[in-house]
This record gives sequence, C-alpha cells and structure tokens, in this order.
Amino acid sequence: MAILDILAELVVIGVFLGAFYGLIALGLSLVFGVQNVINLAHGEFLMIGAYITFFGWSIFDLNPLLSIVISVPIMFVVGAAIQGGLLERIDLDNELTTLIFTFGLALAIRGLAQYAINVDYQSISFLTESVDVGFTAFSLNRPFAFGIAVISTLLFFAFLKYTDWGKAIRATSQNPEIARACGIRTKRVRMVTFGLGAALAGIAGGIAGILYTIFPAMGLDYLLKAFVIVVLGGLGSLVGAVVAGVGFGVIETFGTWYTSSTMASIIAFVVLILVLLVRPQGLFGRSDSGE
Amino acid sequence: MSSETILEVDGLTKQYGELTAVDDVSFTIERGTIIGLIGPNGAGKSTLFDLVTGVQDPTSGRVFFEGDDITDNSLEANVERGLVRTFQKTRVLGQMTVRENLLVASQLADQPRERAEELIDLIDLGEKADVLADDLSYGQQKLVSITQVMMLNPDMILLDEPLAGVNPTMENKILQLIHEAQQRGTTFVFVEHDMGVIMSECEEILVMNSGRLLTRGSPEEVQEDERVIEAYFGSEDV
Amino acid sequence: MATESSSESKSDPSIGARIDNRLDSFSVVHRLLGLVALVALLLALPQVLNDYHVQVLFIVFLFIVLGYGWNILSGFTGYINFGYAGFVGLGAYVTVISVVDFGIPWYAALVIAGISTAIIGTLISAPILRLDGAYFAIAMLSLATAGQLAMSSDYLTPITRGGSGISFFPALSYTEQYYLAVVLAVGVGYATYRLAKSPRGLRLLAIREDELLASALGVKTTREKLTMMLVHAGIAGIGGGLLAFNLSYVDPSTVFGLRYTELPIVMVLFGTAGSVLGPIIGGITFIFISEALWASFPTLHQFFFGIAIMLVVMFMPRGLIERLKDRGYLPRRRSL
Repeated sequence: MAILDILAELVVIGVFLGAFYGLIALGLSLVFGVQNVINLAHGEFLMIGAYITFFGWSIFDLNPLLSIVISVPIMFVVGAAIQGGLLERIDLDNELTTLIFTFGLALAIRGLAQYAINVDYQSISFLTESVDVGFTAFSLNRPFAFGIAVISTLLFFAFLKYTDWGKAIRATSQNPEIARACGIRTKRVRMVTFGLGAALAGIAGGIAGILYTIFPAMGLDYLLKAFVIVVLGGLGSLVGAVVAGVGFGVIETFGTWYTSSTMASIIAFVVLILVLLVRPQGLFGRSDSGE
Repeated sequence: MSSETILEVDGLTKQYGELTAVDDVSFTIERGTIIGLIGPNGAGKSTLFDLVTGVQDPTSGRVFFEGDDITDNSLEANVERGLVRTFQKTRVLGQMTVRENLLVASQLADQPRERAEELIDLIDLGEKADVLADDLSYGQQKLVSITQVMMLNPDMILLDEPLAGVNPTMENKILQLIHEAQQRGTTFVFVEHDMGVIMSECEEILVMNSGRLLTRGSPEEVQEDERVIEAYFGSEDV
Repeated sequence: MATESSSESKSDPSIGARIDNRLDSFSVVHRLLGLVALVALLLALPQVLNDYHVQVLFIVFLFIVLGYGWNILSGFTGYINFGYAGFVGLGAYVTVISVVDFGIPWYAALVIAGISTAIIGTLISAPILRLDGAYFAIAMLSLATAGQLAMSSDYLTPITRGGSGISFFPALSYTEQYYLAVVLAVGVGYATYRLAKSPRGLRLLAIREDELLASALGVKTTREKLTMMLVHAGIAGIGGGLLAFNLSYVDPSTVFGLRYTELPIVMVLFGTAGSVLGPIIGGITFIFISEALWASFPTLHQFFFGIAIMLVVMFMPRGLIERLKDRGYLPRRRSL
C-alpha cells in the first residue's frame, strides 16, 4: 500500500472518530461554560446512552438510529433532574466541591450499572458491511456514526443560535450576573444546560455502542479524552471543542497506528500534559484580579 | 525627605487583545513616601498593581525595585524582596482566626508570634484574636488584610482601596497603621476614591485615566489640574 | 500555646470548652503515656483475635495510612488527587519486583517503594501542580489510568509480566503485617498532628483557601505543594507495598483499583479535610462497611461509596470534625 493511501486512510478514520469525540467534548464544555462545573459523570451519561441503544436493539429490535433519538429526551430529563435535585443543593461556586460531587455521582452510576447489568462486554452489530472507497475500506457504521455526530452538532448549534433557551444559555455562559439582572432565571438555565449536556453524552453513547464494546465502566475513558479535547479547544469554548475533537481524533488514529490501541489512553494523557505545559493557564486564561 | 528611588516603572503596557488596560505608564517613587493613585473606575489602577507585583505579566515595559529589574519576578519573589500588596476585593482567610491570618505571613518576620501580638494590639482586635475572620465585620477584615502584609516587614506596600466601604473609626485605625509603618521607613502607594483622605494623607498623587498616567503632582496641583477634573467629571463615576 | 486557646467564654462551659480545658491539663508525660498505652493495646490485639479479625484490622490501618497520605496533600492544600490509586499501584509493583527479581529484603523494598513513588510521582505531577486545582484533579485521574494501562503494555511487560501480574510468597505473616500497619498509621498520624500545629500547616491551609492571597503573604506555594506531593506519593507507595504483601500478588487492575482512590477520599472528606483525626474517624466509619461489601457485593461497593461521597458533599461539606466544632462539641483547635 502506498504511503499516501495509508495517510488518507488514517485521516479519514481520524476525522470520523474526531466528530464523535467532538460531540462528547461539546457537552462537557457546555456545562463548564455555563456553570463552571467539570462534570466527571459525563462518561457515565454516555454509558447510559450506549445501554439505551443496546437494549433498544437487543430487546425491542429497534434501529439504533431510533434508539438514539429516543435517548435524547430521556437523557435530558435525567440531566435536568440531577441538576435540579442534587447539584443545586451544593456550593456551585466551589470548583473542588462540584468536582468531588460529580466524582461520587460517576462512581454511583457506574456501580449501579455494574450491579444491575452484571455482564461484562456487549456490542451491537449494525451496519458492519465493509465498503471499499479505493484507497481504503471501512465498515459502514463509521460513516453512519460520523453522520449522526455531524447532524447532532449542527442541530445543537442551531438550537443555541436561534431559540430563546439557546440565547439564555449563551448569555449565562458569558456573564451569569448580568444574565440574572436581565431576568434570565439561571437555575432553570442551569437545569436545561445540564440536561442538554447529558443528552449530547447520550447521543455520543449511542454512537459508541455502534462502534465499540459496551460495558458499565466504559465511561471513564471517554471522559478523559473529552477533557483533553476541552482543554485543547479552550474550556467553555464550544466551537473549540468540536475543532479540537477532530484534531484529537486524527492525532489518536495516527498514534495508535504507530503503537497499539492499548496506548490510546496514554496518548491522551501525553497530549494533555503537553498542552498544559505549553499553555500553563490552559487555553483560556483566568485573571483573579483586575478592575 | 530622602531622594532615594525605591520603585521605577518604565513604559509599562498591558494589552488584552484589542484592549489596552495599561498604556505606556512610567513613574518613580521615593523611599518613605505615601503616594496616592487615583483615577476613574477602569482607569487601570488594579491592573497596574498586578503588573508591578508580578500577578500578571506586562505586554511591554520594565519594573525596577531598589535598582533591580523585577519585571519577570513572580508575586512570591517580590514579596520576599519586600514589595507587597493588598487586593481591591478584600481577601482574608475566612476559615482561620485573626491570629492565624497573621501567622500565615510568618516566613519573613524575625519573631512572628511577638510581631503578630503587637499588630493585633495595634489594631485593637485583641478580643477577636481567636475569632474566625469570616465572623468579622467588613471593616475589621480590611484591617486584618492590611495587617497581614505588615507581618512581612515590607519596604513597600501597594494598597488597593484600603478604605472603601469602611466607617470613620475604622478609617482612622487604618490610617494610623499606615503612619506607624511609614515611621519605620515603609513606602506606600494607595488607590483611594475618597479625595479628602487622598489630599490630607498623600505627599504626591498619580492620576490615571484610560490606562494612561494623566499627571502627577502635589495634592494642590492635582486638585487644580483641568485634565483631572475632566477625567473625573467626564466619566460617570466620581 | 496561644493559638490553642478556645474562643468560648467562661460563662458558657460547652462540651468543647470543657474538653479544651481538660486537654490543657494534660502534661507532656501524660500524653506520651497515653500514646504508648494506645500503641501497646493495638499491638496486643492479635493475641486475643483470630486471623480473620486481624486481617480486617490490617485493612483498616492500611487505609488509615492511605487516608493520611491523601490528606496531607489534598486535604491540606485542596489539590484533589483523583489518581491516588496510581501511586498505590506503583508502590505495590516496585515492592514486589524488588523482592521477587532482586531478592531485596521486605523492609528495604518498602523504603525503595516509598522513595521511588515519591520521586516519580513528584516529577510527573510537578508541571500539573502549578495549575488550577481542577486541572490537577483530572490530570491525576488520567495519569492513574495511563499508569494502569502502561503496566500491561508491551513495553513494560518484560518487567511487570503484563496483565497476569506477579505472585510471590510474602516474607511477613498477617500478624506482622498488622504490626507494620499500626506503626505506620501512628507514625503518619503523629506527623500530621505536628504539621497541623506548625506554621507550615497554616500555610498549606492558606493555599487551599486562597492561593493568590497565600502567595501575596509570602507563602512559596509551588515549593510547599511539591514538598507535600513528595510525602503524599511516598506514603501511597509504602502503603502500596504493604498492600502487595497482604495480597501476595500484584496485577494492574487490583493494585491500581479505584478503591484506593475513592476510600481515602470519602474517609478524609467525612472526617474533615486537613484535620488530624479525620482519616481515623473516616477509616473506622467506612472500612468495615467497605470490607463487608467488598467480600460479598464488589459491584455495590462502588455504588455505595459513590453515594457516600455525594451525601458528605451535600450534607456535611466541611466534615464531621468541623461540624462538631461548629456545634461546640469540640474545641476549635487545629490539632484535632
């Protein structure tokens, strides 16, 4: 195989993967931007989404596309309820408090899933036919997953841009105090935001279920990758998350091609350290003082 | 008055993207003086403090302290050299007692415990020495935050609005504290909005507006300077 | 000592104030005798208990050691390490490889584990420790995950034997392991007591409350954090070695297990982060529950402790000791 073919193959697979990563990072970044919470249970939301799609497929024989659509309102309600019922009761201004709380939430959801599901690895065989595009061949579920990720991302940005809730979310993200002064009920906004973050994770979970194995502890890996991407793109920046997601997908595809797939998480860690070293304040600087 | 320069700021500039928060500011300050820094909100006073003390890095320009270039120093390094500051938004360690708040700053004092007791007596907070700083009044917190930096035996203190929101009794105590330190040779620059205090306390006044150093002079000179009056009354904030 | 006196007025002899007065009346000799008696009692326990109970007590003391290790960095400075299990796992591997492949005696292997984990941990986390606490927390989580994967990667398999791990015959009996855990727990507990009473302890707590202000008050924040990181990782490394002796094997998923992160966190938070007695209170409260759950419902273990973390954050964010101080049941002393 010519070197150019390999290069093209890696880029295509990397971009397919990257759109999916961008979608995961989008939800994490959204929640951070609006309420300064790094949601460590984001990976567990993704896991729930993956199981919704899996059980839809295995029990009710549902097309995964349909299950993904169904998972959106379910995950939205789950997320909004967690924000309204739990997170609103703790000190949301204290970054470390929220971090520890969502760490506990992640453990609880993961533990419950391990207890309830009790089977290690499952997968969905959907669109596994291979398609040859000349320089490379891949199974059809990859472009399918790419399509869902792109459409979801576009719909999400359209929601932010054109709906009142979207405008309220953007305003709160930019300045919570002014948003409150303008009559935006920030608790409601936070609930909708957390719900949307969970819904985005749910969609990503459906995609993960189609592409990879499903198991109760699957979330951690995706969370860590999403965090690396969010830092790369600038914490709180939504467009940055999508762009960095694609970039990270390509980096990881090249990295695992050179080494092995078990090295993927190590690559993520190395990228994170490098980014933090080059931009010590993260890609978003925060000033503690000033007028 | 001594004519030894303690602080020299040369062409200091800070840009955030398009916005220039501090624009080519230069001045020198003599040892042992009390200098006022005034200007409307958003004039760049706190940013200037950040740049001088190493909280933020300037885009360009240099800062010299006691003759040495300290532009690239961290805040910690500057504190060790004797250049300290307080913050505009009052910061105390709320979960520590008054005494502990002072003892945190013990690394540079010769006899920290004795010095802490002495300062607590000076600010009349002896009865509150074991009370958590969170349980103090706003004015008392201001007092503690200023006393904290005095623990460091600094050569120079930059005070960011030490009197804002403080009642007259407390204001007198804070001024007394400043005078006590000045007699020990400490140099002060302080940001203040109360013109009466500035006029009576400061030997010289620096005036900033829109990131630039507008003028510098004695209280009388500044009071009569048309540009200063315009800067203040031209903006919504006096 | 001046900082130790209570703020309670004399007309209101609350329980806390009475404890305070009583504590002051003890002399140094009293305190030493008390400590010696306590240690003697703990060391005598194996004479009257069966092997299973000694083993359970060993686990309690092992986690108290690990809790103190976590507390000394994360509890005092607020730099939350979600990847603590990575240090525990590293220490376990270093210990076992030292013993099995190099024939090093157990005590020297533990020292090597402590020192190497401290150095490796500090070198890797040094760039991250300069950052905001949230970055540190997540970077450490990803570091532990990467560390676990690295143990079974092709590159390290010649040393670590990959995913199947290493089994060996430990040189120490269960009772000897218990003695070691007790001595270590008392040692790190005493060190924490001295730290809490020292100016350095105050400086660390100042970093937790307001790092910029701490810098402005002359606290060399980076140096203080790195020093505590050395101790923190070193204790985890020695604890990991002790764990490996107890298990008589190491493999990546066991010794890098989340359990060694989540339990120290919940123990310390429940007791009060940055306190002296917190890890003991948390250890006694949670480790028996953990052992019971771990034996019969390992999956529910994670669920239970996840919920425990959430409940502590929601209802007692500053921990039990602070709560008791607020209610006047304990004196306001940093040495508790």
